[in-house]
Amino acid sequence: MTGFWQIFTDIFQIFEWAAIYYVAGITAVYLGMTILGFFVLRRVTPVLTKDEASELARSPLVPGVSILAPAYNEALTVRESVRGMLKLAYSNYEVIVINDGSKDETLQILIDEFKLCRCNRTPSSEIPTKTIRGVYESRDPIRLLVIDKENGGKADSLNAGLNYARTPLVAAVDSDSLIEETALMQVVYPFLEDPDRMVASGGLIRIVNGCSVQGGRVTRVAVPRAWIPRFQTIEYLRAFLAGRVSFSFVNSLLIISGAFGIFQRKPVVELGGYLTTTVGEDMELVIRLHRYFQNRKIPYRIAFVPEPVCWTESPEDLKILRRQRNRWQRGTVECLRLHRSMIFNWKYGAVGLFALPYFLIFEMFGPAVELAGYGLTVIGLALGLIPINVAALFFIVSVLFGVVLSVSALLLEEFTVRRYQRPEDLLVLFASAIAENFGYRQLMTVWRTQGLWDAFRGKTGWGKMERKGFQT
Amino acid sequence: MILNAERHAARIWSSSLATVLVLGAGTWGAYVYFYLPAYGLPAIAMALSLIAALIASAAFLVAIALSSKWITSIRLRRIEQAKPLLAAAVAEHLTGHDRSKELLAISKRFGSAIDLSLVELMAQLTGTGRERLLRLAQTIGVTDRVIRQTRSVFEGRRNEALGALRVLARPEDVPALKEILIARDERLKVEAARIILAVGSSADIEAVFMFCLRQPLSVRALLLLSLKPYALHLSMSVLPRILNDGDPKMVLPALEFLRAWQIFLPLPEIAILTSHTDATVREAAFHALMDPLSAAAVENRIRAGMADPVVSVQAAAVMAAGRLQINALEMALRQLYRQSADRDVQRNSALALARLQNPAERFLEESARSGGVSARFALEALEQIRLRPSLERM
Repeated sequence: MTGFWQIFTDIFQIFEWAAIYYVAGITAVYLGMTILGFFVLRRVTPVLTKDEASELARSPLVPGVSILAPAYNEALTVRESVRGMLKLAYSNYEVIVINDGSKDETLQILIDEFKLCRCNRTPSSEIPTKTIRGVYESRDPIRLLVIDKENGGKADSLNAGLNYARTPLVAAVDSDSLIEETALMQVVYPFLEDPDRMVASGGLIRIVNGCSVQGGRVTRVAVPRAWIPRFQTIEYLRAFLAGRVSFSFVNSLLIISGAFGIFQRKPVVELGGYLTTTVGEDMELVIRLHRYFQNRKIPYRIAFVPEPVCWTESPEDLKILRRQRNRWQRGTVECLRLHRSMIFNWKYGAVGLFALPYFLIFEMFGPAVELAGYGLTVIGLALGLIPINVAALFFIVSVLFGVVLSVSALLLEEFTVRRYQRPEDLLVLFASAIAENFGYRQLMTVWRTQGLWDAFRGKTGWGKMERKGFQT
Repeated sequence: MILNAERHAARIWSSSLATVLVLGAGTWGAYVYFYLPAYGLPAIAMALSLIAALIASAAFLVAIALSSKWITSIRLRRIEQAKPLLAAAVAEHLTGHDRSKELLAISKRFGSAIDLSLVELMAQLTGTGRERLLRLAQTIGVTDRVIRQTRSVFEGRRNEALGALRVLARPEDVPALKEILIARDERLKVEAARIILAVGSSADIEAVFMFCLRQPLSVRALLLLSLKPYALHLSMSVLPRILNDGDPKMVLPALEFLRAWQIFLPLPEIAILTSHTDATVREAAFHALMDPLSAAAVENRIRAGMADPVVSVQAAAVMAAGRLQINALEMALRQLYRQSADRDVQRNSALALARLQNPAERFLEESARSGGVSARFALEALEQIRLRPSLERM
């Protein structure tokens, strides 16, 4: 029994130290990215002032863009968001809404609202998609095309949109998102700055809950009233301002958010468009683009623009949030599995040696390790292997790290983007940055671990996302 | 306005590294001198030391943010203090009394705060009053200070200076403004170019155009509309020379400007470029062909372009045929529409035929009725020209 106990305590200590090193590693990486992100943001913002953006948007030299907006059962929000999309400050763009076999009145609302009638537009590429039932154009002089097709999922809809787009650039957006007036120009700007190498770019996604919306535009920026979206606001700031800025700086950005991202149409079509068999189609396409250009040794860039471009409704309901996080985790696992040969592969430079290993170690397995850490602490406490004061100190330290990282993300926001003008908004966000560490973070850990487990079991599908509609 | 952080990579990396070193030193100090003696457990002590160092850094950043806000408020207060004194002196100066010495004294006392107030006043004036104030600004050194400020390391200062320069600049300042054109900051370059266009001579306008052609697309796109009013002047001065030289590096952006301006300019050089050795130049030249009066002269060139081995050149030539409505090319267009293997060329041919109207339109109608793959292009072209002529499909 003593021998078994000795082995058990030895193994326990190994796990304990492994957990400590893991936490130290993840903290160091996050901290490093925050510091790097800070200096990058100091150099690159503001990318374009509002005046410059609208002036550039009038210039006929900007490349044409097709905005692809897949819509599935979006009757509640589609009118507002399409109206918003049609009012963007950009001289050379069209909106392509793809009705993905909606079971509600999405198509009828679009037909009535925008005076649509059937047209004979021909596709410019032949990426395989579900059957197209009809293509509609407005009788008004607006650049709106609606593709009605059988249900095939978001990636399939985007592929249908890609087929009908003719511009050199395509923007994939969520039709339930609100796009900033100068968003298109902000995200197209990298293509003007580096037209030969730029293949994709994305921008900062913000949470619309709590903000006022009028005519498809966010008219007043405010912090969400409910705590769950507030915590997500902090999460988004952390992910975008520290993570994506740093990844973009070393040209290893792996995610261009599905809510708003711009791509060069030609390479995307050559690659066969979006992969329809994964729930992480946005991340998968970006990784495939990296692979495509690195394999062919063609110089390229994939950029992140640290400017707010798009507002999205975040789930306020725990059930929906759980589905969303589960899906994101499964998406990450699927992408890493599909492109496993790139991980730790020097041939793919920073993508293979930094970004993909980061996603594998910290994003894919991170939640499971964190959960194991909590479990070990409880076991250690129960068996008397960890003194209670040490466990308490570990907990305090882990919470403090979380708080420091969240507060740093808020400081990044305050030093650069500065969208929250009212001091009380900032105070609420500071409070949320602290509060999210008591319960919310642990809940996310559990859900993401479930997502990891589901991915290994081969679970697929998006799950249902209910919309509340924008507060007008 | 520079998004490509690669240009500042060395600076970003060194700043980040320095921050990590400072943070590391702080953490180590807190660990050795405070937390390790206090807690005894190395891992916990190290973690607490790091947190202490991070909190200290965050506090430092907050202090910087607050002090910067404080400095700005002091500056604004000084401007407010200076305003009444300045307004009184300027009012007297404008009525004919020379108050330059008094204004110089105010300027020395309040420093750069006075410059902005003076510029604000000047922006509200026109005619001789403004001229007099411009001279005054020159005398008391405001203009020189503002030009110096455009080289400030602080972006905010630079932008402020540019705003002031828009009001202050005079033809004499053009040489100094031309120096700004070689700055690294694109915002500075663009603003300087615009100011030169506003106050410069014809030669300066030509210099700005030449400068513009060598700039990245982001700068060209911003200056395109500012240069449009001078298109005719440029078409009679530098443009023929650039187009005749045939250097693709200069010709391509020049053709791009001509296409985007959408103005009929008397430039026969464009048609000559449709037979350039570089396919991208040929394509750009076809896109830049605008003048319907020259249609007959370019007919053979377009016909040759429609038989070009490069598909994108063919597509551009077809578009030019439709745009200039050259009926003599109808048969060639019909042939391309029926025989081309390229989707874009087929679609453009159908659209060009639809633009030529009858009998080309009748041909498309028949083609649409006959079915087949190309029928879809015919239908689309007819629909486009008849139902939505104002919106050219992308």
